[in-house]
Amino acid sequence: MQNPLKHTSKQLPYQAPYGYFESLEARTFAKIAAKPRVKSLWQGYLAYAGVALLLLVASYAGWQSQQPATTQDLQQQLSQIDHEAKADYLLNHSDPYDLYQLVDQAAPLADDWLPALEPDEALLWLEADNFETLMTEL
Amino acid sequence: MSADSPLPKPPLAIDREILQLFASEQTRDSALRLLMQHYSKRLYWHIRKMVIDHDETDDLLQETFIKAWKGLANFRDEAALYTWLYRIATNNCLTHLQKKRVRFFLPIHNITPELQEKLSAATPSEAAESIEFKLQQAILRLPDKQRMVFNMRYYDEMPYEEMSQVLGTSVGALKASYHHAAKKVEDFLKNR
Repeated sequence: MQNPLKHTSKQLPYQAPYGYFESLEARTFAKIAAKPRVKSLWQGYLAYAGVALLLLVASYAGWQSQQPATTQDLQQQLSQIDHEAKADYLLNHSDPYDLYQLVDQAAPLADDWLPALEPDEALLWLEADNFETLMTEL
Repeated sequence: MSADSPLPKPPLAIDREILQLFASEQTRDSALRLLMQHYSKRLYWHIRKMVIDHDETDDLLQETFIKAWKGLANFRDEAALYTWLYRIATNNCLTHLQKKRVRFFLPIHNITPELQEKLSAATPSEAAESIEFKLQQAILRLPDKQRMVFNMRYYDEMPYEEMSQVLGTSVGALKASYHHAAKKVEDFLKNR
């Protein structure tokens, strides 16, 4: 074959599907009509995402406000209330770990045994008969 | 087997009519209809020869018309409507092929095997030994832009001046590119 390109027909070995060009117009118009809707859908999603973010921030703020005070906060608050109120405050405090930390810092008499206890156990101990002793230390 | 190319270039009067219809909001749909009537087949085969797969061609062709729909209202250069549409289709093709080469941000340099597979899948079994099929196999070995030049010149018989407007390359460079492409294709066919 001297020059294959000159002896080759310019036909392609594959075809377009039957009826393709007849349906192209309608499908293209449908696609054009669908485009703005896709855009508004995205705008909708963005609005939903914005609202969801606001709700998330609000619920986080609410959750934070419900969290127990830190050890430092507790000490500050305890210093401002009287002995009886201290007892109520400690017993009603919801986070054993913070209480444990507080007791650990504020009660030298408990130094020997308190580090060996788990926070829950420390709270139980406080709620039992040693509470009054501790209160005098605080 | 079918060959819808080379197709005659639509008369300039048609382009003028399309642009006039596009100028008015009320007749834009008619303008797009007219545009598709006259350019669908040309652009379809231009894209199809590059991406081989029909569904990908369909997407790219519709994208081409949608881009034309968006841009044509401000288009004033009547003489260049034909080359402008070709340019949109060409850029769509090249971008599409470029994207295919990248997976997970990593470049994949060779998509020829994928295109060869698509060619085999699209070709009826009775045509698998035809010279037209082998010619397509040879063309798929060319780099994208060289393949584009070869297709436009060989199949569409587009003048170099028009190709230059579509591809933004000088006539001299296009002639050289076609010459190299044709040489590679001939060598491949002779050695088969």
